[in-house]
Amino acid sequence: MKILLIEDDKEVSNYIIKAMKESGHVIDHADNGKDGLFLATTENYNMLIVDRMLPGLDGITIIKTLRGSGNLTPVLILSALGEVDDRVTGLRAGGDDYLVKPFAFTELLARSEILGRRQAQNENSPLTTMMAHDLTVDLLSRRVTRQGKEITLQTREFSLLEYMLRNKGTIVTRTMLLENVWDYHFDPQTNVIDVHISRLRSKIDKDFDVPIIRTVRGAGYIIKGD
Amino acid sequence: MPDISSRAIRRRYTKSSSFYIALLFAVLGGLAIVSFSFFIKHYSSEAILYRGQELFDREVKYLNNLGRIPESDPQRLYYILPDGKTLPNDLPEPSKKLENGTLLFDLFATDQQYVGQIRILDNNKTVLIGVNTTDVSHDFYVVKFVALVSIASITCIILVAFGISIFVVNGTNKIADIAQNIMKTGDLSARIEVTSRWDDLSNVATVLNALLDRIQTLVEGVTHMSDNIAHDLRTPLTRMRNQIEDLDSDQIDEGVYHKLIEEADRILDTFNALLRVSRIEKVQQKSRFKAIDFEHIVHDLIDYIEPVIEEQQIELSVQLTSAPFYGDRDLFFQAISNILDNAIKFTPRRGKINIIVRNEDNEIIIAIENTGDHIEKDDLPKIFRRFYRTDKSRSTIGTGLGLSLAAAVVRLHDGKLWAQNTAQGVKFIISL
Repeated sequence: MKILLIEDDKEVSNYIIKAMKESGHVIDHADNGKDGLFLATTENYNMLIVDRMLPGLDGITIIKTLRGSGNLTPVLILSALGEVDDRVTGLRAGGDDYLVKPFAFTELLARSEILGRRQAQNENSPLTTMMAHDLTVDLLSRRVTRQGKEITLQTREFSLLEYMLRNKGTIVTRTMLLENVWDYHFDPQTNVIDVHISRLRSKIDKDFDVPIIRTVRGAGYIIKGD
Repeated sequence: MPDISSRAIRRRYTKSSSFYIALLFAVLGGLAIVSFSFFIKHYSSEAILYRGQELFDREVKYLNNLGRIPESDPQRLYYILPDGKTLPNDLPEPSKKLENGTLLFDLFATDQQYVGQIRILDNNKTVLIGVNTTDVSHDFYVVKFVALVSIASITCIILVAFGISIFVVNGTNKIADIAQNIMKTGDLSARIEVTSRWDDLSNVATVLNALLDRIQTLVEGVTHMSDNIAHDLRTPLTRMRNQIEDLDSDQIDEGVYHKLIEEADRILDTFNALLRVSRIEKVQQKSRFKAIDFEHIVHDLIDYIEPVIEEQQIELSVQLTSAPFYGDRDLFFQAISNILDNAIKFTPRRGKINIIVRNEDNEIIIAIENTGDHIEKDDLPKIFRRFYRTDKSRSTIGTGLGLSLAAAVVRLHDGKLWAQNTAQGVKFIISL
């Protein structure tokens, strides 16, 4: 994946660049708004990571300018401001996701990969069936089968599985599950998500040799690609 | 409600010292009025003359000694009554007849006033003796007037005393109300309204307001400092967490690795929660307010948290009604979820939790009641404080900020959140 990072904080930039490269991505960096906008309009990227507060041009203006000129490259906004209000302004301006500084790198990586992939998916025809190992999910009839055996899932369990399958091969964090499956932005006090996952697992993994959902400790969950 | 009973702080008017002082005034003034009235009644000119029977006795003695009836003069009137009862024609009808036969005459021609008595002399002549009382009765009118004025002014004093006492009690109650409200809600921005400059209470109010300003600054300073600490430590902590993540698995034991990550996450969670509470309290952000319905929010929340309730084998009963409101959906989800988390934490296995959303008379009530141990009465209002832990909860996990965040969210929406002990356990109530 080719990523453009527009960020003026040296320490944060170096860290992201290093970690992204280690994860096998190509990353360009601009340390001010003007250079960033120039790169974003002249080069082709899978996604942009844009800081809100930048010298020259601020992040929101960059996004607005890009969207205004028809550039639909997914943008993840980084911000030190970090409250729901800021999130809304950022997303309204045309950002696709929002991450508050300081953040755990796994969270940034997971979100970036999903954003980059979304773009690829949009270009394909809509999915009707999804598979992982020997598990098949039919999105139209909402049927789940594994090794030919039908598995009955509750609505919420189905949504969880669907979301993870859509992002197969990338880590999904607990916050991402909350935001996308439950559609609430909040800090869970207890790890209720884990209980939901373990319920789902007891249905799709318990009687089989190969687990579909794997835990990435300290980060979240992943359904590995085939 | 929190434990501060309104009786303790708000003085009922009839219990106030100013009322007692006014009452004392009324009693003393009443005594004065009664004695003045007694004076007026018993020392009126008629009464004096009634008692002055000997005046006429002396006149009779004088006439008997004289042996004749002298000429009338302005001070004395003497009329012989041939038939013993018919009054002379040149005298007007007596304006008043007293019971002992004393008559009162007003001679309008000379503007003089007389009292008279019909007496029989030694020589069997019947005489009407009149004595001029113009000066005497004039003096008594003056005295009577003064007495009446005194009664009127004492009445005024009593009324004013009650007026002052009402004013003072209202003033002190206003101050007490504000103080109580501050204790109840913790909102230090409230001030006592100062309406005038001349009275002492307004002066006290001004001084108290200045004191509140100072307290507010100090409290804000403390909060601000803890926020700053949290804010400044968040970045290096995140960096540390990222560095732990970066460690190669052959460099470090897997178990230790996860423990470190978990520990870092826990500290970060606490800092984030702390910053969130202050953000909600300080920045009254209402831009995300929109039409919401608690029926849906609570329904979603139950859907989210239900596996935990099931795992704990807690019996959940839910009564939801549509409760439309204008507010922040995510914040309420967070707030109610924090309260429910707390309830689950303190409900024993196989206990019960009851959730109610009610919408009656323009008031929305969201109540979460669990079976379990009571909260100490003293602790009830304190559990919403930051990092406050009751003795029983000290060992449980959590940031110690869940309920303060819930309280901040409810306050942001001008609602009330409180906890109370019930027959079976503890009930948390949000009222909007």
